[in-house]
Amino acid sequence: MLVNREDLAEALARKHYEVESGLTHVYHIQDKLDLSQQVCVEHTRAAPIRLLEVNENTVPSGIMPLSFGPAPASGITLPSVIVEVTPAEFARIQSDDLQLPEGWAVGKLIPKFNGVE
Amino acid sequence: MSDGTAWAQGYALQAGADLNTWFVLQTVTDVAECHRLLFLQMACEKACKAHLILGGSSPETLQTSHGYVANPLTIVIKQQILRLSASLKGMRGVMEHVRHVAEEIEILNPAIDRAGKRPDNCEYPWEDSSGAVRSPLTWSFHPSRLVTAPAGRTFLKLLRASIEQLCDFLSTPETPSPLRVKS
Repeated sequence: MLVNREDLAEALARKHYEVESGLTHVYHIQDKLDLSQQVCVEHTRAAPIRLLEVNENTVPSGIMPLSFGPAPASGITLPSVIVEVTPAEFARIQSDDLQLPEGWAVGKLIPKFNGVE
Repeated sequence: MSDGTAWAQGYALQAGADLNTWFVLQTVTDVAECHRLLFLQMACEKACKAHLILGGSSPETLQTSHGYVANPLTIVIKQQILRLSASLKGMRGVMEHVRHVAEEIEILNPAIDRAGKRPDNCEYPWEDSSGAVRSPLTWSFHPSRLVTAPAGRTFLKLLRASIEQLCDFLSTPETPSPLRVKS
């Protein structure tokens, strides 16, 4: 049973890569506070895992975070929030033309394969 | 305004009831295809809105907006696949089909016409590119064919399970899941 937040996020991302041929990149979504100060990990332990998924097969629809409860039988013991965007929308996020919700920031990439992007 | 959880619960319960109605209407031969599909479209839209509200979207914005199906529904189904499937083998094909179904279900809403390219919808007549007026009553809709394909049936099972799970997650003893009550 995975208990570490990062391990859980990676496990969820890898399952998504497995079922979605158009999924090119999955990123953690982190609090801006986390990125700048590397704190609050304890405080956010029960908070949802948040993933930003770049999918070349989806339609452009802006930032629409979808929330899901935990799926313990699948090893995902925390709630999750998924935001899916097209590659063009991701480029707009990177150029700050399209914003994630207040306080959210694009975190590190979860590669498609272990150690390989 | 009430909190987001109450709104999400309201949308989830209504989605469950809409989907139940769609299933019931499948057995009624003198109900038009467009009217059956209307309930499938409404079920999908409300289920997506429940997840969006839980994700932080404003219920006020969602109340007056449409088109929240194509992108969110595929994510909802993908999560349900992970929840139910011990093996993900073969699920890529299902997901490709789901993405197509979700886009077609979104178009059933009369507010969505893809810049005039897809005026077909399950509520109001429309004028096609030749100037002829078409009626939903006599139109053959893509989703009816898509949901009866093998991957379409998997989609329906996953949709039902996802709404059921969401209703259970949000329900209280006073407001049980309508899918559980009926089944």
